[in-house]
Amino acid sequence: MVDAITVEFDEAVQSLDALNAAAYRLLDAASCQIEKSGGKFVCRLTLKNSAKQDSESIRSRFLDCVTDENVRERLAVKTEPVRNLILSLAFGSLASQPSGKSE
Amino acid sequence: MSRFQPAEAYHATETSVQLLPFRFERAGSGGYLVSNMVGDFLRLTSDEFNRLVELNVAPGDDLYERAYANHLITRAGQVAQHQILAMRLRSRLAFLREPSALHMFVVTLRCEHSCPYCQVSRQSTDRTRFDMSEEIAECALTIALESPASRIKIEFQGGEPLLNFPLIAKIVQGAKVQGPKKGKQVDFVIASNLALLDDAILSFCKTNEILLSTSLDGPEDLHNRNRPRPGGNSYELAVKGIKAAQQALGKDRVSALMTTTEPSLDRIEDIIDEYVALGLDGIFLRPLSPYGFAVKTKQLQKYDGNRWLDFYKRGLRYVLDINRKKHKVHQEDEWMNLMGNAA
Repeated sequence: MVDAITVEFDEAVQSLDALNAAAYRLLDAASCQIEKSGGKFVCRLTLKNSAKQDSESIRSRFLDCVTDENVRERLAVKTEPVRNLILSLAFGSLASQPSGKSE
Repeated sequence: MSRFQPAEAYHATETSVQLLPFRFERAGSGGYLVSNMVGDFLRLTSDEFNRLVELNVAPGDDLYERAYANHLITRAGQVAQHQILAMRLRSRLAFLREPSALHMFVVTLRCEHSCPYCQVSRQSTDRTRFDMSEEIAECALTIALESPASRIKIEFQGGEPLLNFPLIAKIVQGAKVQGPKKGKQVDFVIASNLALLDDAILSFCKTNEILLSTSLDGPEDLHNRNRPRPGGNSYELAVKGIKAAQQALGKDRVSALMTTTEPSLDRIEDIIDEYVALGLDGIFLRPLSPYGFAVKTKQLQKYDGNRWLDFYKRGLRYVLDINRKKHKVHQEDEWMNLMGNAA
């Protein structure tokens, strides 16, 4: 069984935050070390003994996680203004109240 | 001439569709679970999810209607949805405006039980140095009453808190005097195995409107196996205490919860029947907590998350069956509740 997998991403099109978030989600199956090298992010996944999946499945899962994290990043950027608007509608009036006072 | 406009006239205006903030997770085979800012959720297929993210939706295509109804999309210039989400978010997080409402007073670490799953580092009963002192109790009460919340709850825990009942009485009396001066309403709960409950304690609880919360792990053999004490009569005393408390304080003033050990896993129906027989209208299915003796005695390793979830699901199904039958036969309004952290 292969106990390490390397996956590379182009630094120009892939955010490091998304890779870190994806690595975190994979913690039950593999530990991930991310390094910068020649314009690429090199992700070294070390499989854990307790991992129930084979290396190909874990690679595929990691890529899915990265894809999802990229979508989450895009959504966060796109919806930030409306999110702030809703938060200000919900809680803006509290800002002028003295702390510790309920309505 | 038609009295109504054609259906197209009622479709949304030409303003652009916009995404509202949402979260998502992959769920099972190719599907997604998507939830809005206030936790409403819906399942989408992969194709639907991609169309939503790309805003490839239009009135009449069903996905648009579902996404709109679940506050995942809106239209430019549309303010009603922002206001609805803001109002619901504000209500949902209202608890943050009344912070630190629950205060636990561990009045002793002593206990006459020796449960192998105990989450507290209990001490044997003869070590009075493990009792909370009056001085500490006074300080703790002062801190509790400084909470910004207008209504606080003081819960007495242990060990077995009734082993230090005189201190409980002092704290309750102190809170009754000081609470109103600080504009606080104070509720009290004693979390006890009830083995030491007597008429004097019950009378004090009644006078001071104190709730009792106890442990009942199921039928006698299972309960006594899980909760050893000298005499091996934990079940007998717990049941006697529950009945006495129900009679003296009222049925809704005493509640119980159970802890799931490996031998409990095959006996959810027996456990729930025990609660029903005692007139307890709710059960809190609780997995082992990863603290204290549960770790030291390796109880935690005896079942995994999947077995716990199976147990929980069987329990949920059984509670639903009980409620269905009860409702059918007696048309009663008394429903059995199931609580518990399924995660």
